[in-house]
Amino acid sequence: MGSCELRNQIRIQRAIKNITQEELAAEVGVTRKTINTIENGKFVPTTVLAIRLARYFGIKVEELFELIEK
Amino acid sequence: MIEKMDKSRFNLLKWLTIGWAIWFGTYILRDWLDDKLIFGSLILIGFIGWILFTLNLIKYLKLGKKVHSDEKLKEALNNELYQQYNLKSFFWGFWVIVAVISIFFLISSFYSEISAMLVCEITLFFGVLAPLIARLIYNKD
Repeated sequence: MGSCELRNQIRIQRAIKNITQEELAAEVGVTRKTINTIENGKFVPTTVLAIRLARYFGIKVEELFELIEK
Repeated sequence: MIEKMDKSRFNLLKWLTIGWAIWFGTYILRDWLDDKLIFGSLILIGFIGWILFTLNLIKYLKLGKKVHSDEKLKEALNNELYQQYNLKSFFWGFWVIVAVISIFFLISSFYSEISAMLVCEITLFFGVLAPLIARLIYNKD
């Protein structure tokens, strides 16, 4: 198995919902910093947080996060 | 609430770091000075640093206790991201201590003997300062 990259649609989904990182952070109970690092691919969220984010946007986890095999 | 606490934790850590640098920095410098006027000024500056460090450390510990006693806050302010920052910061602290001791080892091996007290003071100074600075850098955007 080679390396992989976890891409996400958080920025796009935020734009659709028209909310800021801070607002999203408050909705899912984390800090803005956590959302920012996930959005920029610097931090891989826990399963719980990934599910919470997907639920908030009303989409599946697989739609919000995509694993790219390199 | 969460955002406010995160910012306040960052500020406490910042002032705690500044306090430590001033307090212990002047404490080490005092050993090297003979001038009474500068020595007196350093004691005063050091005292201010000690107050800064102690007050912010107490506040920081209180905040930590509050975060740990509340599940929601703990999940938000002590999640894997922040635990990762803590680990990385301690990693930096460890390597800085190794580097400082190595430098002292080299100096004492090739040049002259160094006071054990000075080695302890400088190692302690950098051993505390390095993870604090690293934590601040990681926490910053």
